[in-house]
Amino acid sequence: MDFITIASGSKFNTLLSFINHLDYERINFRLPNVINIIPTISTFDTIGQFVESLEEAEFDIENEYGKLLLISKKSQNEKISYYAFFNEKNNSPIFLTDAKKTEDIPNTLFNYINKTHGISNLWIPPKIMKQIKDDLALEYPEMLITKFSGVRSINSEIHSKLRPYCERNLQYHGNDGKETLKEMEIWYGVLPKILEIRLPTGVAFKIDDKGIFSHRSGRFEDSFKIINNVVDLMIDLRDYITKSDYEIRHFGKTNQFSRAIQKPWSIRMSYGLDADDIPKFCDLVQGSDWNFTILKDVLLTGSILYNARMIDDNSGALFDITTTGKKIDVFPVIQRDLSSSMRFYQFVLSHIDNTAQVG
Amino acid sequence: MRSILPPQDGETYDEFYAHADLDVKKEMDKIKNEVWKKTLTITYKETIQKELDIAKKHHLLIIACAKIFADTSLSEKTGYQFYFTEPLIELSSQRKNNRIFDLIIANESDCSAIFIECKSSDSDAKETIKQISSARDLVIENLEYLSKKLGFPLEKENIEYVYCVFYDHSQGILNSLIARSTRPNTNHDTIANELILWEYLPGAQEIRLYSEHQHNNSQLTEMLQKRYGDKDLANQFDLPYYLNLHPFLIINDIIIGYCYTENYQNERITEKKVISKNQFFKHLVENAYFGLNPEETKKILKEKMEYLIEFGVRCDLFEIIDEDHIKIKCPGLKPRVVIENIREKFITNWSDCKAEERAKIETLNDIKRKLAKQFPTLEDFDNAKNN
Repeated sequence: MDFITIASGSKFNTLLSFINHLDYERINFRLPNVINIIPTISTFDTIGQFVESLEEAEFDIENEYGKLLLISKKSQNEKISYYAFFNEKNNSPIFLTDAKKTEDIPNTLFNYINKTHGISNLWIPPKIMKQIKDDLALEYPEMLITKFSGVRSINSEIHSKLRPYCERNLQYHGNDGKETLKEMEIWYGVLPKILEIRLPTGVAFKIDDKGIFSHRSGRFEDSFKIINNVVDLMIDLRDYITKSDYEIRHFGKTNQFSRAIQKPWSIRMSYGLDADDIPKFCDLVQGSDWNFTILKDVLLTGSILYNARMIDDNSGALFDITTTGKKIDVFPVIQRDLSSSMRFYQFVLSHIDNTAQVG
Repeated sequence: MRSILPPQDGETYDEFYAHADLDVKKEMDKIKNEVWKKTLTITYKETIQKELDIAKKHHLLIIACAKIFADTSLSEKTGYQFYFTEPLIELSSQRKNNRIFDLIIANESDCSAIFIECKSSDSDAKETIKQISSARDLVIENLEYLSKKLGFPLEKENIEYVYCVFYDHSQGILNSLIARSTRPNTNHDTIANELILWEYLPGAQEIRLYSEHQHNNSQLTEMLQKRYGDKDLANQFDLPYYLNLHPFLIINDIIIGYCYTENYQNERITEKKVISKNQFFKHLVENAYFGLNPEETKKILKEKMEYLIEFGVRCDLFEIIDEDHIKIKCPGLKPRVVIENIREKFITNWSDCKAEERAKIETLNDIKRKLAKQFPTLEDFDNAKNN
């Protein structure tokens, strides 16, 4: 049985109508205890392009309810179902599932996202995670954080009163999470990566850096308000990255010559890399967590210039990076890949500078 | 070891080894493998790693020169556009010692062109000047042909020649240029007076015109003397390979970077390491930015592909599966593992092969000296020879 009951012939053409349906089902206790909501950003122009990409990834389109699709794919012989709503407001699909985050979602949905050039999950940077938390704390002073994990990267510009040169990774459980996180921010310069939050409105959810929002209780309307705010923040990032390009231009009297022009997007860091950081960078970026491969690179020491052609092992996309320390220029090769770009940015945020910004 | 005649002049290691006495053979094996090959393999490993490093830097330098003239404010203000790499490559094999420049930029509005030679190492400047002189001769001999290619008439007087180097190598080059231009001895030395020096500053990714040199185009002189590069650019020019790039790097970039990556992603392909020649050729063509028409490009790339396959087979990087397919020979499936293994294999096999060749020469010299000692006088030698 599918995890949301929808009468045949129903049509949801706005996100709000679907949210209202979810809340109706919730009041009637017809929903699973936890629903994982995975908002994405995409470069699809139409729902048709989105459907095409799903079919290419061998998803079964089981039903269509206006802009809402019921889709499924097998993972270890088990059918994993998703409801996917194509939000025409920002051309970005939102997926809902009761499947497990550990295996089922990575094997099906994330496999599709990683291999498809035009869609990415929301890799939420630690600084944006902090912003989400701070905004909610301001709106709901009674908010509880019951669990969090936090990070501090080696080159962070975030002030740390104690041993600022230390890289940090921590997990915390306890109803005083909000206060503890504040203290960790001040004393240890830690930023949140995963948050488990309970709001006085009854909404309880967990949000992680891969952009998976696990709704546990409360009104979906409230949850989606938060999700939509996060999506809006990430849409700016998408719009910036998608200005990068790879183009073949013809020239000469009879257009007899051609050349490939790469237009980059850039990541700016507060402290940046030096030549000694490059071996570690190469090791980490090629690790199983990130799945990139360096095809070829050149490092010129002295005044650092590091240049590399990278392969995204998930999608096969290629891109070039060039850095002279504080800025990394990322150049698409042949085709721009939103998912690779977002993952590479998240890599920089996770390992080089938690506060790195695009632009 | 009993008396035996040493190798004759001009006799190779293999020729001598074929008829040598068993004890001599054993001695030769010992000298070759234990004395020479061990040390030579280490030396050649360092040599090839350095060679690849220099090749990658040379590629970087070509891109640095090309990109500042690929639809930039510099190209707009000066009229110079990057046209293509390796001008006249199609003629370079017609005559022995034909040399070519790395790239050409041209100005259609005043029918002028600048041929650029990049050098990423600080090795023999004298030899480079000789090569540039030879490349200039090829340009001068083919002005009409070049004019047709470019689409405007190109006269000898409207051509300039640039020598582009990393800024920390520029002083040595300048000294060499000054020495040759003040004391011209040969035809090659005349180019020293004409050459214009560009310096590449990698930290800022900028090109700077040497302060005492000038271009005919005053705007170009002014802009390049102020340095022009990354900070002024919105775009970059992609040059995945050029024909004179080190063959291993073309194999790495095209066969692994494009063909293998494509196979690795394709779930329907079970034999990931089998690459079709069509696939290889397609990527070579798609990434070719030469000044050739499609037929010429295809012809030259067909030859290049066969050469690269033969090179790969010789270094044991590929095996031929059938007329249309090759297979990458290395363990592992993940792109990172394949790249690392293929590189390691190339460096080992190349060094091993070079060390073997050199070790044979050194061993032959050693054995020659050793055996010659048995004949203290010429008379002893003649006696042994006649017996």
